[in-house]
Amino acid sequence: MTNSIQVLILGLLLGGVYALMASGLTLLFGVMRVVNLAHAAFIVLASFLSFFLWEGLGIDPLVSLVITVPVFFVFGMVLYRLVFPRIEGSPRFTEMTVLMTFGFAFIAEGVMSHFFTGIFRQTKPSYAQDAILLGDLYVPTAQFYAAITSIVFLVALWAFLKYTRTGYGVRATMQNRDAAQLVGVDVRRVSTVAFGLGMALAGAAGALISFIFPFYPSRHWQWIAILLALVVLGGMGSLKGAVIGALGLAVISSFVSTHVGAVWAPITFFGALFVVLMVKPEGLFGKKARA
Amino acid sequence: MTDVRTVDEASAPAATEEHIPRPSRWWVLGAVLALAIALPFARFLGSYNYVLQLGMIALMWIALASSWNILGGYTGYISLGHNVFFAVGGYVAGMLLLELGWSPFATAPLAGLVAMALGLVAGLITYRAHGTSFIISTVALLLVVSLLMDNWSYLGGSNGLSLPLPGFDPSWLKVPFYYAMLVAAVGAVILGHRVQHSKFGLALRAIASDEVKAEMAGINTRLYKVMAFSISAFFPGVVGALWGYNLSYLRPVIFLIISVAARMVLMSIVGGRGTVAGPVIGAVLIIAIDEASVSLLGQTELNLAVTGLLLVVTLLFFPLGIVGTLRERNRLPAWLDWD
Amino acid sequence: MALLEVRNVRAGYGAGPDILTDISIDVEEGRTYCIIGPNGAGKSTLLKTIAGLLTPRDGGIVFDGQSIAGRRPDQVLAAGVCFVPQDRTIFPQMTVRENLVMGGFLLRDRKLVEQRVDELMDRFPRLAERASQLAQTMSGGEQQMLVMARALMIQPRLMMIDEPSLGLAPQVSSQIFDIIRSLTSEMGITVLLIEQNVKKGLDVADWAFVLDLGTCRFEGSADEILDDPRIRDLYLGSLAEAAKESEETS
Repeated sequence: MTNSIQVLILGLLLGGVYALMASGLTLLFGVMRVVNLAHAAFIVLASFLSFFLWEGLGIDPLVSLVITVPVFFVFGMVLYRLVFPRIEGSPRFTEMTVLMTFGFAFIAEGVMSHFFTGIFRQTKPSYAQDAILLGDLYVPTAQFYAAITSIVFLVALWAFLKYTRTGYGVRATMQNRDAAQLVGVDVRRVSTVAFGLGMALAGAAGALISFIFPFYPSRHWQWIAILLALVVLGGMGSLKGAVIGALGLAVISSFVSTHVGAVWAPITFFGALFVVLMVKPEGLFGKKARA
Repeated sequence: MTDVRTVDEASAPAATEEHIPRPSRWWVLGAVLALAIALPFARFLGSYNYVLQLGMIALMWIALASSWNILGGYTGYISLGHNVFFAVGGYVAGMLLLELGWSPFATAPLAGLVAMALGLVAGLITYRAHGTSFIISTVALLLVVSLLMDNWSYLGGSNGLSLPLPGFDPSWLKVPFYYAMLVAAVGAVILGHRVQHSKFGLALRAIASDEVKAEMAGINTRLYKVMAFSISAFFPGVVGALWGYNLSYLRPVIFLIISVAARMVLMSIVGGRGTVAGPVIGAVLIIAIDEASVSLLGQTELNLAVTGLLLVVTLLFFPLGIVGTLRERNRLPAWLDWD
Repeated sequence: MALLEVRNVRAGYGAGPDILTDISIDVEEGRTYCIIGPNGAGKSTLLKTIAGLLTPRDGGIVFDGQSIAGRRPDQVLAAGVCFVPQDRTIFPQMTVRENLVMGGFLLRDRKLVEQRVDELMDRFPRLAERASQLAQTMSGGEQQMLVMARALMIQPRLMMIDEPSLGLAPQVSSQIFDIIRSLTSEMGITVLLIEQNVKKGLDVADWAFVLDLGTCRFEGSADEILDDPRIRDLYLGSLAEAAKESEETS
């Protein structure tokens, strides 16, 4: 019993981080119908940024958030403006974005591998090895901090979408792009901001990942596959769906990891993806009309 | 992609499918094929083995890219996990060699059929997914298969297996591989051509241009999609069998690293997806660029970035690829128009 | 000077052919106009071009003395021109109230937005009843009403409405037409309306533009146009049928 609660706790902590990782991806799809296959590659890039800030300047990865988040926000807006308006009118826009960002992922991975090499990295702040003990249960401090920070970012995202004028514009564009234009939302500007936000979330996730997982340039493929599975599962573009999916599947994968073997944990996500595709292709929280 | 037939035409294919063979095209194709067949006799070349090896690799990629094109080009369903079939071919033939001593040259077609069967299963799992969901499910397929292969001890896990070398005279070692790849490449191109000029191919292109309309026109889109998936898996299986034997070892990462899938996509798109000649031109071009960049930059990871950059640049500036762009501008030379 | 002047506009989609070949119309303030014409005449394209959803390839559009050709939709809206397209463009997962709030997106003053939402709730009791319901749960007629109410949030001077009665039951559609009538009579808003149901459209309108092949063939007061023999001659196909249908349904 204690053991199961232990596994549950670890799963939920992991799920919180996955939810943050998936939120940026789902935001980009929801607002712009862009599927960003390079999302995890950018997360790894942010992890490297945190790592070098830690190695070079001794900045704690949690503190480095104040650097990674704005840097990635600006990077996202610039990237969006440079690339996406050019392909906006193409007939299969979303597929086009998949292929385009597939290219981005290789560029990012190639550049990182070349300059940073393929060795495993991890930032090791003082709390990295600690654990909080609650009776028989233990909560790894690093994972705990990462999950709490993820929740803070997700709540901030939610509040932004719910209470600010730009947030209204973003939500309106997600729900009905035409209607948003008709009520006076400048969808191009909203898209730019949303892309920046999606990347800022990647920047945040990267800093957190840097102290909970060892990372190396090509690791992003494993993560992107899991994140894409979460996004499809939750119903493409549904933030709520992605968060619930992340928490639920991370818990299941923790149990798989404990009882079957750690290497099989990712199967949980892909298995769930295949089941959902066969049973309800539009995702658990998705609507039929969306492709 | 420029000449995607509408659904109305799909129901009356005969009228649009009259092709007058142009002699110049046959001359050029015949000359290229003759050169390819003659290459192994050019033993006087200084770097004979290197040239043969490079030719073999180019032929392998022609087969892979042309196969991908059946699903990704004609049908418009982009697979980012097509190297799964490449791996299956390699392992099926490799295990038959190890367990029963059957030569992969003989079992390569069988390996192709096993790959087709797996393609059928994958098609059945994903046939309800469209567009983006489909692409994502192919990425997941690739990772599931990688995970299985990495942990399946019978297949050697992530360390892989060694295969015995074929008992040929070492100085002639590459020649049978070269010819086998040539047969596979020619087969894959002919298959692509046959598919494009069949009723089946018209149905696929109807699906690519508008799946809902295709369905309303009475095309069983799900059946066709699953069939396209399966057929496009055959030649990757065949060349996988040959490639593994040529390397004399099997390791999941050789076949299943995602950049292998990316190359198939890149070659088809650069050459022109949905055309017969496109993947061939793309494969030759990318292999050439690769060789050039390795000799310029050395074996660095930047080659990966070059692959990505080529994909992005092509999509931004020539989304129809070389053949497609030339055709759109009516500048396509007859010898490149194999459709 | 007319409120809206469209001069020699040419427009089309993407790299496609011109849908509007050369169109010029004048719209005076405080009146209701109906655009009629066969399918493919360019009626919807004209409204989309005025609304800024489509950039004219040639020609000018002047609203209240200021050029709006090629402006972004939000800029055109800010000038006082709103557009209600035919496909009931609601925000499905927002409540009815939130949908109205979104209509005031351009007004930065939150108090003003709240005040106008309340005013509209008074004017449309049906929406007030459903204020906290998700917009996607409403019927077609209610959604149409919501989209029109949402457009009123910025108190436009010109309201363009594309086929408001499409797919609605006759009873519901006459409620919608009552609202359209009240736009001009009670609120002084100029209305530019597209309606397939010619008789109904001309019934609410003062003046009509007859479009064909991307240009304005002729125009006249609603009564004249209804009896104009040229209508039946020119558009014997779809238009005469539509007129007949409208007689049957009304």
